[in-house]
Amino acid sequence: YSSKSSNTTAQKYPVIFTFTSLKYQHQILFFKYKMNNGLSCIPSDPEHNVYTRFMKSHRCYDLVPTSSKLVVFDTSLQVKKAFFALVSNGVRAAPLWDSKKQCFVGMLTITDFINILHRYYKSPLVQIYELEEHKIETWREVYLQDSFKPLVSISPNASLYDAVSSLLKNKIHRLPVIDPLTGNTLYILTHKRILKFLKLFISEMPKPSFLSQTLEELNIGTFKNIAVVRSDTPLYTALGIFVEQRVSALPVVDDKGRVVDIYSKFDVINLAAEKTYNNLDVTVTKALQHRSQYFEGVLTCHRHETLEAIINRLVEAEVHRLVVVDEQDVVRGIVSLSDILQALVLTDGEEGKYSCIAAYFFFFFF
Amino acid sequence: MATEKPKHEGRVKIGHYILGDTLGVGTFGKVKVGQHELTKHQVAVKILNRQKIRSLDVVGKIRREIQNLKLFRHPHIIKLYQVISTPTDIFMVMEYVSGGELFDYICKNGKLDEKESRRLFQQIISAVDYCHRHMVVHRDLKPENVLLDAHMNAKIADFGLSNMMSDGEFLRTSCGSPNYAAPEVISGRLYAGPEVDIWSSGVILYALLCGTLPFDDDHVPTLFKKICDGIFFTPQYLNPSVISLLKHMLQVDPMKRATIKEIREDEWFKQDLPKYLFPEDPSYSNNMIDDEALKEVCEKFECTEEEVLACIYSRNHQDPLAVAYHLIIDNRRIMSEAKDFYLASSPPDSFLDDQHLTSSGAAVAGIIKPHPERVPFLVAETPPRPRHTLDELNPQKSKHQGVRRAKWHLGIRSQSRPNDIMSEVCRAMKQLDYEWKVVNPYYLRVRRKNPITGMQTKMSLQLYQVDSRTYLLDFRSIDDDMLETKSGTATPLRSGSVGNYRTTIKNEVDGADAPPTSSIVHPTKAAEGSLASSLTSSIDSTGGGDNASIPRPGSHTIEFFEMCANLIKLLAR
Repeated sequence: YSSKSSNTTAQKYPVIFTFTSLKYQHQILFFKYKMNNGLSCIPSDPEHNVYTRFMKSHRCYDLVPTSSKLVVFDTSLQVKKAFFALVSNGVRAAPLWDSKKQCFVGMLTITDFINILHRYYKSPLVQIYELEEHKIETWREVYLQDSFKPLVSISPNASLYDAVSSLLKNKIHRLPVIDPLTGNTLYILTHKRILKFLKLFISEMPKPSFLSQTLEELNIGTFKNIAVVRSDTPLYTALGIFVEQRVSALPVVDDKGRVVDIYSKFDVINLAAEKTYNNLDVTVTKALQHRSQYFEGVLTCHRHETLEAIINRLVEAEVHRLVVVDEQDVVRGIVSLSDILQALVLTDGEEGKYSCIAAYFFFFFF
Repeated sequence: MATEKPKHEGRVKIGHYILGDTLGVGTFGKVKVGQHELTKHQVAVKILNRQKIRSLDVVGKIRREIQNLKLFRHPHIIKLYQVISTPTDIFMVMEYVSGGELFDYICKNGKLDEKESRRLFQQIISAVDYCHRHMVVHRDLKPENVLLDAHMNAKIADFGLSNMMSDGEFLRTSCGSPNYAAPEVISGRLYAGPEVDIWSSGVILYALLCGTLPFDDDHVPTLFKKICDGIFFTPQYLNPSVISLLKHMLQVDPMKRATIKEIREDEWFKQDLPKYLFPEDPSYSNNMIDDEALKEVCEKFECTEEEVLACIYSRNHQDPLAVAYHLIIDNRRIMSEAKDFYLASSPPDSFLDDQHLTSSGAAVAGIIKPHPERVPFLVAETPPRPRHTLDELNPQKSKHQGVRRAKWHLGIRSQSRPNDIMSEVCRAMKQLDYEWKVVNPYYLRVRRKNPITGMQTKMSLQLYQVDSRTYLLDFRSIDDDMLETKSGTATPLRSGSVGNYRTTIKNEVDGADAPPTSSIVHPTKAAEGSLASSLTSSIDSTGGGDNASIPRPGSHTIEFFEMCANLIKLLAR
C-alpha cells in the first residue's frame, strides 16, 4: 500500500502485508462432455460429476494459502512505480485501493502494462510520457472512459464453483478474495491455483471416464485462428495482438509453421524489470533473450493425448497453456487452463443440452 | 550451620534427601533444609505449591524454564541441583549456604562500610548481569533473597521463579514487601524487564551502605507514593560518587534508569573489581552452531535438533531451548579457559537466505527448478535475491522449520527522548483528529472514525527502546470488535475457518506472539466434512448466498495502514 504524495520513505514503497490463514487442500473441477454435434452431454458413468459436487462443497477460503504476500496499490501511485513494485515484489497483480472512496476499485495487472505500452508507444527515441507521468487513477480514467466497472471479487465463503464461474464469465485471470467481515483482500485466486488444487486430490476421487478421453474426442481447446508470431516479428506488433485478440500467449513459429518459442503476456513484465520498455521495435526473439538461462522449451501436446495427461502436464509445468502441435511440430491449436475450466464448467449434465446460454446458475440446482 | 535434627517417625523424604527444619517462608512457599540420606550433604529444598504457579502451563514452558535454571552456573547464584515434581508440589533441591540472609545480617550488624558494600554489590551485579544475559529477570530482588555463604559472599536465590507466576499472582504476593519494588511494578504495569532488577539492586546497595531502606513507610499508600516519586534521603556520610550511582539506579523512569553496562562503567563500581565477575565478552557467534551443545539440549529437553535450531536461527533468544543452548556454551567457557569451543560444523551462510523459503514443490524433492514464469528481477537491484514463487500451495514448505523470515516492523524509529517522541505523536494525532486513550505514557490506544465508511479503525502505539539511544514506536492494528461479528456466520466450519483467519491475520500484522493453533480446523477433518456434505447437500451450498449479510465497507487492514501512513507522513515533516 502506498499513499498519496511522495516525500517520505514511508510512501515511496508500497507496504507489503502478509496474511496468514488456515489452509487445507482439496480440489474440484468441472468437466464437460462434448458430443459430436458440438453440444455437451452428460456421460453415462455415475462419477461424471464427482468434481462438480466436490467443488461446490469447497470454499475459496480453502485455496487461500497459510501465508502469502499481497501487494496493494493506492490509485494515486504513479503507474510506472506500480509496475516496478510488481516486479520487485515478485507478484503479477495487485488490488487497487481508492483512498477517496475508501474501497478497492480494481486490479492492476500486466495487461494494464501492455495496454499502456501499446497505446502510447511512439518510437524508441521518445519517452512514453503517459507511462512516466500518469497515476494509476489517471490511467483508469482514460482506459475505462467513464464506463463504471466494479471490482470483480469473491467472498472466501463462496464456493469454488462460483469462483470458476466468475473467472470465466468475466474473462479475468485474477480474482481477489475479499472477506466481507473485514473488507480485507485475502488472496488473489487464479486458474492455476484451482487446477493445482484439483491435481492434489484427483487421485483420491473416483475417476470419471472422460479423463481418459483425448482432447480431440472432448473437443477441448482452440483450434481456429490461432494467433502466432514469427521470430522476427516486432515486439510492438506482438503487443498489438495481445490487446486486440485478448490472447495470453503467442507461439513463435518458423517458416513452416513449427513452434520454436512462445511469447506470453507474462514475458512483457520483463520490459519493466530490465527497464527496456522504451524500445518496442525490437524483435520478439530479442525480447525473449532474458529468460534463455532457464527456459526449458515450449510445452506442447497432441490432440490424441488424454485430458488427464494434459492436466498433469499443465500442473506440473505450472504454465497457463500448452501449444497443440502435430507430428511435425506445426502449431494446430492452444489448450489453456481457461479452456479446460470453460469446458468443464459451462456445460455439465443434462442442462448441457440447453446450455450454450451458459447460465451457470442452473447448475446450482441439480 | 543448621544442626542435624532428624525428625523421628514422620520424616519426609524427597528423592534421596530427608527433609528437616524450615529455613524460611518466602514468596513461593516454604524452604526446608534437606540432607542426603547417604552422603549427609546438605541442601535447601524449596517447596512450590502448584496452585501458585501459572496453572495451565506446568508441563511445557515452566518445565523448560526450571530445566534452564538447572543450567545456571554462577559463583554468586544459588545453584539448582534437581527438580522433583508431584501432583501438588514442586520441590527444588538447591545449594545450601550457611550465612543466612543479607537482610538479617544488616539488621544485626547495621550498615556495612563502603568497601564491603561495594564488594557485595559487585557480586550481585555480576549475578544479575549473568541472568539477564540468559533472558531471566528476577523481578523480586531484595536483601531476603540475597544469601551469604560462610565467607561472606553474596549468593542470589530465587532467580527465575517470579517468571513462573502469573502477573496478578506476582503482584498480590509481592505486596507483602513492596519496599524494593520498582515504581512500574507497583503501579501495576505488567511488563517487568531487566530495569526492575536494576531498581531493586539500587535499593540493596542503599541498604548495604546506610543500613536502612531508601523508601520506607508503615503506611503502604504513602510508601507507594514515595517509591513513585523516587525521592530518597541521602545521608551525609555517603560518598558523592556513590550517590550519583544510586540516583541513576533509582530513576523512576525506567527508560532513564542505569543499565548494567552503565553500572559497569561507573567509576565507583569499577574500584577493586575482581576480574572473574565479568569474564571476556560472552557475545555468542550466531553463525556457528555448536554440535555438542545442540545434542546436550536435545537430550535434556527431549526435543529434536530442528526445534533448537529453529529457535536459534529465528533469534528467539527468550525461548527456553535457545537459552539452554547458550547456557551450555557459556558454562563450558567459564569452566575451562579454552577459547575455541566452537566446532566448524555450521551450516553454510546461505542457509539463512530467503531462497529455501521460495522453493516450490521441486525443492522438496531435492531439485530446485526455476519456475518457467518466475517474475524477473528488477535491474540495478543488487544482489538479486530469489523470490517467492507465485504459488504457495506446497504444504511441505511450512515444515521447513530451520529458517524463518525476518519480521517486518511497522513503526517509527527515533533518537529523540521518549517523552518528546510521545508528545510529538500526540500533537500529530490531534491534528489528524484521532482519539486516544493513555494506557501508560508509552502505550496508547488510538481510534479514528472513517468519515466515508463510518467504521472505527483502532490501533495501539507502544514505544520500545531499541538500544541506549534509539526508540521504536510500534503500530499495531486492533480488531477486537471483529470477534463478535464472526459469530454471525452460518456454519461452524465456516465461522471456524474465518475466525481462525482473523486471529492469524492479527498475529501477523501485529507481530503478536500468541499461537493461533487453538482454533485451527484440522485439515483432514474439514476435508471429510466437506466431502460428506458434498454428497448430501447441494442446495444450501449453492446459493452463493453469503452475500446475504452486508459486507463491511472499506477494508480494516488498509484503513489501519492509512492511519499509520498519515501519522508517519505528518511526523516526517
